[in-house]
Amino acid sequence: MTGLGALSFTTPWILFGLAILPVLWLILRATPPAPRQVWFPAFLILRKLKTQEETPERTPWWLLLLRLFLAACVIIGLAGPVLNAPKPGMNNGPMILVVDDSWAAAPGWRLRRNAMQRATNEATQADRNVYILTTTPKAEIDTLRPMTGDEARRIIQSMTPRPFTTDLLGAQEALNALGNILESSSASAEVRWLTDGLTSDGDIDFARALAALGDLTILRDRSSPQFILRQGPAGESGAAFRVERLRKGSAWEGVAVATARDGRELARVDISFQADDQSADVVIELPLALRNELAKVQIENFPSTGVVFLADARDRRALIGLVAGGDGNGDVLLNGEHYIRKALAPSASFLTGTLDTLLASDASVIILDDVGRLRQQDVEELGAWVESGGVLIRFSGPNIAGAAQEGEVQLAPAPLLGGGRALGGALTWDTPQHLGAFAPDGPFATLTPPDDVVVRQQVLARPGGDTSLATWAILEDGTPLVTGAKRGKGAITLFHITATPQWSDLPLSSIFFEMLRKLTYLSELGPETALDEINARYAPLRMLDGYGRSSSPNDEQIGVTIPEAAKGASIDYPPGLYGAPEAPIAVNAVTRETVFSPLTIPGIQTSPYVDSSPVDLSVGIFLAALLLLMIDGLVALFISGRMRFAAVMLAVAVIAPIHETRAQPYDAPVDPKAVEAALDTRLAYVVTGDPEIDRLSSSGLAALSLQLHRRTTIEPATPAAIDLQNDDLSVYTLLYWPIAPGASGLTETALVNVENFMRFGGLIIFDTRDDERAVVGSETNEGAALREILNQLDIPPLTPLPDDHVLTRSFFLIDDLPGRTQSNPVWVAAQSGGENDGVTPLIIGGRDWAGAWAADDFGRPLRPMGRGGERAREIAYRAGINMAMVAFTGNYKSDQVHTPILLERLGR
Amino acid sequence: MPKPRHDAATAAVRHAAEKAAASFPALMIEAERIAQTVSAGFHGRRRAGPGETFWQHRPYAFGDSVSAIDWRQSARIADRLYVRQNEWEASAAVWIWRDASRSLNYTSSASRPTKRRRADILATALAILLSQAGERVGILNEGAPRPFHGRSAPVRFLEALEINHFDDQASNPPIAPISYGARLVVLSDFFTDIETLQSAIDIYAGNGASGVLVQVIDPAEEDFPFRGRTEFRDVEGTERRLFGDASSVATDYRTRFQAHRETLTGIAKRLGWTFIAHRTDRPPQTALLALYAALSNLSDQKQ
Repeated sequence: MTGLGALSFTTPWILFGLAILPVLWLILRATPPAPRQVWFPAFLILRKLKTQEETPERTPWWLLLLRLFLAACVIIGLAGPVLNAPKPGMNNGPMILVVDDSWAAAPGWRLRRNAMQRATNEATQADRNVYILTTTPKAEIDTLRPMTGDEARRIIQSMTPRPFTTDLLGAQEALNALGNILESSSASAEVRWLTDGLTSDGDIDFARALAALGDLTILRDRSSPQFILRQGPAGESGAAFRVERLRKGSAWEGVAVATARDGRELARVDISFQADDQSADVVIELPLALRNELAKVQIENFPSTGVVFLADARDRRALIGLVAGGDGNGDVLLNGEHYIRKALAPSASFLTGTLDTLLASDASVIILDDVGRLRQQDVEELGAWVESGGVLIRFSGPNIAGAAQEGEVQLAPAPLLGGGRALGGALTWDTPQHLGAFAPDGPFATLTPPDDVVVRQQVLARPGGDTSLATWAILEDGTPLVTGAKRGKGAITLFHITATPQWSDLPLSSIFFEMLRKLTYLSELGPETALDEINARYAPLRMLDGYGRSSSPNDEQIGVTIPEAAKGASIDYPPGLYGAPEAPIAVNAVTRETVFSPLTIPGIQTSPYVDSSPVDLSVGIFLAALLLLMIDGLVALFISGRMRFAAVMLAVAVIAPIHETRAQPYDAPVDPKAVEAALDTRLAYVVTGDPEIDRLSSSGLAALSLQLHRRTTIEPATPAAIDLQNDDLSVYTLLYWPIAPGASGLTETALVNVENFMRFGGLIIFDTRDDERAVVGSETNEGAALREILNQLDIPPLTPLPDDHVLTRSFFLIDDLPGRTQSNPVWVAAQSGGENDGVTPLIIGGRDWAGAWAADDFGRPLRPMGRGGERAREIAYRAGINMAMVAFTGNYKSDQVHTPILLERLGR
Repeated sequence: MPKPRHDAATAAVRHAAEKAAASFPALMIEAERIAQTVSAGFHGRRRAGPGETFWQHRPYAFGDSVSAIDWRQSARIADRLYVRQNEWEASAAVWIWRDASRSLNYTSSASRPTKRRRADILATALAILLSQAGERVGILNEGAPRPFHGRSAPVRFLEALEINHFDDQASNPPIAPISYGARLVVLSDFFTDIETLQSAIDIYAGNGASGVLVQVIDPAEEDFPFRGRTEFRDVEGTERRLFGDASSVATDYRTRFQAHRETLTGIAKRLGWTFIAHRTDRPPQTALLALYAALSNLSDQKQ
């Protein structure tokens, strides 16, 4: 191995081959190129030609140079050039790699792996033994044994960061064992410690022990950022997290992603670090309903278990509705709501409002604080809500006591005695009572009654069978403190005391909080039942690996109990989710107590990981030689005339195919006809298939377009012929539809097309052209055809054209809408003021309007008018203009109906 | 007759030939010479005479054979007898021979047609012109050559031409039994044994035939534009010839080429035939015009 700066050769002696290049030059120069070969038919004459002196042609100098360069490439390639080849160490002893394979090493694991590979390469070349010591506890494979470089390389390839922190104290024991093995060998070892950059217990001692083994190099990653995500204190409205980083320095931007249990993304929150920020707070604001679905918070694109926070079922919060009786204006400490909120705040969110709004909300628990009387309707609704799974918690107080005095208190688990009793008062005989016991079959069965809670005043339940069954907590004298009863899927419970400390100490006690939580868990509507079994083991559900990716647990993984989970991840309980999928227990790699500070080892120099792995250049050089060979071949072919220029171009085209692919628009191409219609306003007519009718429609609309152009600001282009089946109607405004006799029904597509056209403001003029022939009581062929079409369409109710309809005044003031004839009435949609401002979507008549309008190219009318001559034709044009105006401007002109009134108002 | 093969190449040749022939007036060849023809053939003389094709009815005249009366026709018109006359047919065949050897399948540039293709076009164009003039046109081949006649003659001629078929042996016109006084058009590059050619032509000429020799050559064969170290390969054989510098032999080549051509011209002149040299870089019409003139001259000479 000979080094030339960063470039080195594995077999440098081959480079002496470069010396033969001049010889090659001479040989190549002497060899003439192949002659140009041509086919020739006139051999009759050629045969007679005398061969003259042949002067061998010289190979052109540039071709010589090309070939010499090719030869040089081959020689250099054979010599095995390598960039950034590892430099051989001086040490001949065993190589010990100490690897921190914790989650903190995961972001820069590639660097570590490269460093390890380099080390094994060196070891292979020098034929040294390799020992690998991983510092996380309980390594899966035994690597602390002498291995060859290749063996170590295979192990390194399979090594991944583990979701634990380093255990240097444990590692030191392994190190001692290693020290014993190494003592036998004479050469001193070379030790490389690939740290994860975090400080941990005993790191300094560990470093000393390593240094004692031999030549110690500590490698630290200074390039990849290192973060952890810690849960912050639970806030009122959002989940708070704190992102910390190991090193200050550069600004950094990232995103924290909150995902739900089913993998949905719930929220994305930007994280931004200024150059000198050590930590950044992240608050994920979520609606409560979504917050309970939160399963995981993670920094995106950052592979480490340390930035994954798994949410626990215990972090879910119930939504509790509060209704306070009495006056809420007093001191906050005299307000029961305050104590309830304090007790439940860590696990619930609150809604205050009237009972109606609470019932309509997602509240799983409703607390009525001293609400005595309920309206009958509320009672029924609340009862139904409880039956469906809600939990109603009531607190007593003067109102309840008063209500009980006057009559039956609705929605109480047990009948109450009026008045209530006070204990330990100045005028009472009884002393304040302590909390006695919890009913074994009630929800508080698992709680232990504290002895420091005294009750001074209570509302009494009427003794009897119901009451004793419904009692969940009693005082020492046996009177119920809390009564409760299951109703349907839900429950009603009554605290016989106030929620304030006025009547008892209970609201000040921790048992109050426990009791309320237990009650909230009764709700079928709220979050899943909490996991409070202290000693139960919960089986592993999903595990996290060192990169923060979740995986299935392996078979040996044991379950976790709640207290163990609370301590955070350890070797026995790797981070992940345990328990039932709907209510998992989370074990996180990073807890609030996790230490996250940089490793400092005084006295020993650290060096960064080098990320320039050796690059073998010989492949590239051989490829270049191959390319040159191909060029040489092409040139040789060219010189001998066996290849034309076109062939060269073809070869180039084949070798370097430039294939330009562009993103294709996803939308379907727009029909050019529709584009044309959208660019210019134009009237349209339906093609009937009868050429005479179609010709008349076309020329009729063309003449009307001309009149519109002349007289109004509507300047339509040539009328469009419409095929209802295929054309896009949305670009047209007015559609003239002559009905041919025997016109058949429409296809489904056409019907939808027409209905959409009318619904979105288009105007259709149906013209049966049978006005002259129509007789009351009989039906023309056209009329029958129209009826068949209209039967299939969803059309509004129709009415004969009213006198004051906007069609008669939208541009010209006319009395009727005459066409060629005007005997029978014209029908329009009855003005209901509904869709499209009540603009009629259709005009139905038999007056042959197109016939009246139609004119040839010289403006001569094509059809005679029925009555009234040319004056009538003029009126027909006006009718057409009015129809077009309605189609384009809608009811704009109908406001003129109100003009006199408006003027009158203005005049006032 | 075999099923006609109409492949694309055939159609292309016919198309090009029709284009070339379109610009010419119908090639009429004087018929007087044919009157003296000994051999009987089928050539409509547009007058009544011995032949098989119906020409006209004429009223019976004294002296006509009774067997010549067309009774069916006579029965239609009362009191009249009609004699059926056939058209006088006589042979005026033009025999065309096109060299089928591979030496014609050559072009020095992709932009020019091969000599073979040019020769095919010339032959077909000539056939079209001749058949338009009512002449019979045939392909000279060994065995029994058959002339084609009528509207479909060019098509059948083209099929018989076998434009996709090459035969290196057939580089000289074969000796075929053709009628006395026929006219011959020989299309070739004549890069062949000149004695064989001469003896073949002598036989025909001795049989009273007159003709035209058309030498179709590529410009490279005449100009010899090659330079540098060049190896020539024979199109027909496996022979190769290497020249250190092709340009040094160019002058010698051209001299010998001209000598070869003069030999050909001499043969033609001696027999009273016409020699036409045609290069493929010239339009085919020039050669066709020369052929037209040559065939007309032949007729004049005979007059």
